Amino acid sequence: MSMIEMDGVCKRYRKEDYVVDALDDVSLSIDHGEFVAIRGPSGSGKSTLLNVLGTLDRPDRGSYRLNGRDVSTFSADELAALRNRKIGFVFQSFHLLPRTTAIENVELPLIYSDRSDISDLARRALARVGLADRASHEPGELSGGQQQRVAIARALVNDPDLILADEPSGNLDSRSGLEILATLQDLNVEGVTVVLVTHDAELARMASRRVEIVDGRIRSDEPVTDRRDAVAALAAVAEA
Amino acid sequence: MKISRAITSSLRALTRHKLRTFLMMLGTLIGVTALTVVMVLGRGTQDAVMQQVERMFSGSSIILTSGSGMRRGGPHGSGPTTTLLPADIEAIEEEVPAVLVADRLQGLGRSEVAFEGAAADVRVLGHSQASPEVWNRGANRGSYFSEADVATSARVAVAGTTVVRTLFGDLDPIGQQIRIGTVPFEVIGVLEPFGIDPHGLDKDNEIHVPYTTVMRRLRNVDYIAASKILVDPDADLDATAAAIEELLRARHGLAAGEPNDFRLITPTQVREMIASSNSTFGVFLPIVALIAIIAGGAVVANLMLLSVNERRFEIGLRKAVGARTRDVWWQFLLESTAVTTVGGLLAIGLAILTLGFIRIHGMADFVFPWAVTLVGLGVAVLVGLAAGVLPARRAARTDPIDALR
Ligand SMILES: Nc1ncnc2c1ncn2[C@@H]1O[C@H](COP(=O)(O)OP(=O)(O)OP(=O)(O)O)[C@@H](O)[C@H]1O
Ligand SMILES: [Mg+2]
Repeated sequence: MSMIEMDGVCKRYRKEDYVVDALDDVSLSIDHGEFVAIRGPSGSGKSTLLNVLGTLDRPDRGSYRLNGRDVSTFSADELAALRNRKIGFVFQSFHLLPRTTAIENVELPLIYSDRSDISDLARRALARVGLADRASHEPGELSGGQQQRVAIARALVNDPDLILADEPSGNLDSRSGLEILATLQDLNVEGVTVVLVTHDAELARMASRRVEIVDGRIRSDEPVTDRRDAVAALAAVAEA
Repeated sequence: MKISRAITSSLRALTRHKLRTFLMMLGTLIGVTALTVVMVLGRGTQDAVMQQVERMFSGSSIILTSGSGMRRGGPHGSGPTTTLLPADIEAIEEEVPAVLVADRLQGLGRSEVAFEGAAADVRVLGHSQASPEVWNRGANRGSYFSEADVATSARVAVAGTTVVRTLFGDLDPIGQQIRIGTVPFEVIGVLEPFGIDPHGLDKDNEIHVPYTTVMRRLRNVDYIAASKILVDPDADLDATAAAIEELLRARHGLAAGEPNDFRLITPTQVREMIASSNSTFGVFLPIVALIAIIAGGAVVANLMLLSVNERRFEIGLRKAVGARTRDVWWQFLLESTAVTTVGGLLAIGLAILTLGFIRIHGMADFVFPWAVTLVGLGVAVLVGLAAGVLPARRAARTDPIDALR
């Protein structure tokens, strides 16, 4: 059984004078442990797809099964609980709470869980992204790459099955972008399913599968044959 | 979500926006302080008034005044006020069995009273020798005047403590000669202190003289203004009042259908009158305080709405990472309630200071009812909950995708 099974999913936006099919009959299935890169031009529907995958948005038509369960039958609160336990989000603009320390940002998903050891877990997640010593720093005191690593710590703190990253390196220099990718690859090796939206063809090669989407439709969907290792790429950058 | 986590999360959000939190607190502070002060003063005043009424009607008694109609709230009598005679009161004492004793009253009103160089503006009241028993207020130095003084219209006076202070200072007042208008009197006693009556009159700025002296020597009239009649506590007051009414109507030759040319007031009537006349503290000020509270609540609600609009991204993020609708509700209800609760606590402190100031400066006397502080705190909590409802609802309805875009 696949982790993600999307069948004929449509999402249409209506503006005053035009209609946009952000997703037009998208069928996609992703197995446990895959690392999928989604590429496509601006406005092609990548973020919309990720929102539907993350249950933040509901499709107009078509079905979406996550771990075999049809999420369209879930209530808003059931979806919130599902996101809390199963899904981690990473956004292009980090989306950290301002004037809030790194550790408190990482704790955010935990306060809506029934975990009791939340500051321990948050500390471990921060250590995992190499920021153990920045726990009490606020976002304003961190570099962009560090902020995104805090965001990744927040995404993985609840031990999710699925991490959805929407252009996590879009606002970062290439080195910081590679660091983010290295962390995602690392998590994927441990069994976390990763879906990554990216413009960057080089970064897309670090996934195990590449999906291209144009005008809300899947144009191509193929395994990455010349897969690259982010840690190796980092080393190459360091040498240069 | 655990309640302790919800509270911590809300408190952190509040400390992140200090100015807004401060303004919200100020909103509650003003309203709850006003309410607490008004409640304490209102209750204190009511208590004081009731206490004095009890004192006025100590035992069981009826007040008789000349003139007809209602003194307050109703048509004022147009009948003569010269028909109530000392003989009427004697008749009441003799012919109505339940009547124990009666005081007679005839006053001079505010008059200039002089002692050597000093002068004072004092209320001069004529009483009978029964006054100490009837009013429960006699002389605590020297003595009250006697039946003989009344019979002879003696020029003797019993002075209140305010009068004594202004006229004599440290001098012993007993035996001193004063003038009421142009008539010389000898001070034979000092009235027991009483304080301020419900109408704000200083009951210690009085001089009591025999009513007969007021009639003959000061005003040259043959009638009295009023009487307070002490009734056997075992007797039925209403029946006694009816008997007095019948007797007086007969003595005054009133035909059936003619209105009374006197009025009988029983304690029940007075209590009702006071309850209805206490409207300044009873109705008006509480309304003002209520408006202050509602305005404070509106301030809190508006600032919370502002906060929700500013924090759309935060709310969206919280929902994306797993906050359920009720978690968001709690977040904002707790924020507004925490603010108003702290505001309420500060308000109680401020109210205590304000009331202390009022008491020290003698503007009003009251006991501080601690229950009122609990009411103030309760109101603050309720205001917080009420003010949080709309903001919390708006927050809970935030669409995370919209908010995170
Ligand atoms: N809330 C909305 N209302 C109207 N149109 C929308 C809305 N959200 C997305 N769209 C439209 O849907 C289409 C797909 O948007 P989406 O954000 O998924 O694109 P994207 O592939 O993520 O683009 P980018 O690479 O620029 O992030 C676009 O044409 C966009 O304008
Ligand atoms: Mg996008």
